[in-house]
Amino acid sequence: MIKAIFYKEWLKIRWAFIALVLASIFAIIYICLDVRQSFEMSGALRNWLQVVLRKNMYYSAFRYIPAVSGIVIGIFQFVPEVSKKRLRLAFHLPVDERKSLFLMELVGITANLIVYLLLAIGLLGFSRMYFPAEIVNSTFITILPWILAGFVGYMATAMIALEPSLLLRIVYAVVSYGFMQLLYAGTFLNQFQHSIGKYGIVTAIYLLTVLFPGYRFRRGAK
Amino acid sequence: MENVIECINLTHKYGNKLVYENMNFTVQKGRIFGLLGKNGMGKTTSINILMGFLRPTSGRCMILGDESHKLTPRVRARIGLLHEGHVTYDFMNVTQIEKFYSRFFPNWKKEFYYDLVDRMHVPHQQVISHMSCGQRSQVALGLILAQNPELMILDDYSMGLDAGYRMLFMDFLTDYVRAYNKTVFMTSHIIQDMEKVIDDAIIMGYQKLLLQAPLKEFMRTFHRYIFETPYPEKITFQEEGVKNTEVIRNHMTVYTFCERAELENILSAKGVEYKDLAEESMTLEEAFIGLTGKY
Amino acid sequence: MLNKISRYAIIVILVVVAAVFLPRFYWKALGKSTSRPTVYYSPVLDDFVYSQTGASGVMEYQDLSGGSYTIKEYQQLLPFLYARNLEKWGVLPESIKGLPVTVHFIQKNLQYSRLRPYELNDPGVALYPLFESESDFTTLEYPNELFRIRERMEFITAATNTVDERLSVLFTEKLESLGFQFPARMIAGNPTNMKPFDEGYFILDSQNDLFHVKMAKGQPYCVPIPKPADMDIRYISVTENPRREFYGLILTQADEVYLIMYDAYRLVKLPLVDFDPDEMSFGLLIDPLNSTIQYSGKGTVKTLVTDRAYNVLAENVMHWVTNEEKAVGRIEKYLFPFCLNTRVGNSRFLHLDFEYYGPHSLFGVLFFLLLFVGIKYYRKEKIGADWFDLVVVASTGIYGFLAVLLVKTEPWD
Repeated sequence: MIKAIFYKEWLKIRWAFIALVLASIFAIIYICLDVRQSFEMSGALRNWLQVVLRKNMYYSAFRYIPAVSGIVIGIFQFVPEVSKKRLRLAFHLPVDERKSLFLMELVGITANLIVYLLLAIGLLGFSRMYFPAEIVNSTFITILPWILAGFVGYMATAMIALEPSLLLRIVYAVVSYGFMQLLYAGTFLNQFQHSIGKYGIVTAIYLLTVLFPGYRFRRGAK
Repeated sequence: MENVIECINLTHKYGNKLVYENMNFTVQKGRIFGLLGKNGMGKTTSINILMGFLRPTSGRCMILGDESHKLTPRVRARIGLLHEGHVTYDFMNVTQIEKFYSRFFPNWKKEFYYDLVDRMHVPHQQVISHMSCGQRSQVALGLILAQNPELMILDDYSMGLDAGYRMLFMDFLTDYVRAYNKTVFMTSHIIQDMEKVIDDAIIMGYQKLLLQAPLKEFMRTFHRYIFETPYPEKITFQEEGVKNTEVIRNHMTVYTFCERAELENILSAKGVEYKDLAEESMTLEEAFIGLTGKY
Repeated sequence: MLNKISRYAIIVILVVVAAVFLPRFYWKALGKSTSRPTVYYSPVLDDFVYSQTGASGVMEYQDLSGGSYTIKEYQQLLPFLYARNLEKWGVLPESIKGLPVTVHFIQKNLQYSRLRPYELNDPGVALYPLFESESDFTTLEYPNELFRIRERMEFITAATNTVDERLSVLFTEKLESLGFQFPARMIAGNPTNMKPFDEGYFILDSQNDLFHVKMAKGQPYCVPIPKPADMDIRYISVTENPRREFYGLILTQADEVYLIMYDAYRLVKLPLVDFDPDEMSFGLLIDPLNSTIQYSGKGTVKTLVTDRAYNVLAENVMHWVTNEEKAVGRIEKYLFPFCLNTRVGNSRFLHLDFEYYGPHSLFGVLFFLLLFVGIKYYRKEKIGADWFDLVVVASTGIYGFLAVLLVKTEPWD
């Protein structure tokens, strides 16, 4: 039965997922070429100094990709699940509704995780060729909040889709937007070095939020 | 005869607006029940509660022993639902959806599904969202039949279907139900279809249940009488048994549970002049409107 | 049960976001500017003068005896700072307190060093350029490598992203011979070529010993700097100034500030009292006659005037009303029990820090708790199974109040 649910989720997101994987590969290649060109034109040291002195981020194109991925996967997964009250179908299956929702969320999280790993490994991988270890580490720390924002975007989309009431949808949207703003507050590298753990905990709390709107739907809330 | 569905003192309000109060009815095993009611009389509310997607304000609705809004997965497997609009996972195709559902039900009868679906001559790769309303309804029904549930709840099976599909649907369903002693609870806005099929009728009125009875019994005891009278607008009935009246010129039509003799007594007691008192037979639809009123 | 927890998960997120943004909105709506005075020492008056935005919003120029000046008059009281203006107006004196002055002379003998709190908390990458400090050229050229000091001092050539072994070994051996214990705990210097000359870096090793490191004609110049064993250095700010009086400033964990003099690396302690480096900014203004030390923050400006040997000659303390002290600030402490700050002090990191607002918030908490109970009563909703909502409101005040009312409770199974 669990496999069947995974199968259903995969059917919904497969094209979006593949498109996102391709887009990610594209983005990495783009950033890599950008860096290559910059190194070619201004020399390696100048580029290094941009990072060390100006705290520039050579990978700023990466910024919103995880969030877009999260929201896109969320939409492709949950809109078909929810439109025309289709959530009734999932909730009438002989599987605990909470298990159903968690399994759906697991699929989405995994899909996003794969995309983010691809992006991160690609970015850090070619960074190691061009930059010294300290800069590669700072790149990793700096993209982490954007990756968290990706997960938040996904789970917020799920919450909002599942919630029957318009008012609460707006509340979830506003609050999640606010939190994502916090994750995007960084304008130069390494700013989240000391606090990323705390932001990570709040992001993890989002994992639990998917059940409540589902419960409200189940009992007939408007 | 065991009760598959039992509603006890069911009350529901939307905020302060009362839909109905202390409603009681039961659905016995092996019979086909039809729920009739005008829009806004609580039909949707009732079906939502029965399907387990609305928690009643108070009272209990027991389905196969479990409260409807808290059905355990095991009980859910014994209930087949047809959702309004024949809603399914229409991002799947014919094959995928059967494959998906089959994993959840150990007693899955694949043949029932394909028997019905193949009559439509639709390729198995066809995505359901690209099918017509009628074809989609067959997929939905096929899935329910394959699930082989004890109880089926059908929320307006006729919506969007033309006559041919409605008939196909009903024929298949009744065949199946009689053969395997299944229980069905259904609603439809096309009453003449239901008439051919249901065993029992549950009729809802304003804030309460008007009637629960076997169809035959209802049609036998509810009468339509028509007579001529000079001043029909002056006649009013307070009697319990008289449900509605209609006046056209100097003809009055009375819908009532009273027998002919009883009605004649009432008319005489009121001193009403009348002639040509005759009973007219009714279809279920006409009886329904006669019971609930045109407006 | 899990559904209940899910609701509280949503509530927690709401509280966190509210605790960040509501105080911000509060200040956005009600915040007023504060009027912080700028204090200087006037050699003309032999006393302090200051400028401050007055009640009417206009800048006022005053001295301590109540005298008030126009901006031109004020600037004439500060000839070292406004020498060029004074010359333009033809009122630059030939000498000040016996010292003959020209604009050129004044500018050559003026130096301003700053220590800003954010420098103590600045996100960065631990790679540094080591300039050739005895170059034949007049401008500083960036080297081809950047260095790091971990288990050894390593130079990485940018063009190849590989270690330059020769340079690395050269410098590492020199440091080892001086007893440098790797890795470096702190490397302080100015990694930019926008400075008149280069004095390299002041480096703390893992045993908190201080070294001066620079490159002189391609060879390592490394000198251990004697310092008291109990001096726990927190931060070093290096300034390359043509006056060549001191290399830079040392800030200790004990909130003391020392100058590292060119004269044999002698450490001169500055006469500061009650200096909080995390909340206050620090400035050292040196003019041809005196040195003026100023540190300000938390509603206080302290200005000290010293002689060349940094003995205090005059002292001034001024206060201004901070936002916390105004009505807006006080009301905030009643309204919000705490807030979550993404910015702390002047740190340039982004945080998510809890700041408790103090016992006054109990009023606010009680108010919202009662309001909550009242609303539930009015709506005829029982609290019963959701007693934890009361705990939420009691512990988070207005934030929890909004959260539990927006994300209403459900009839649970």
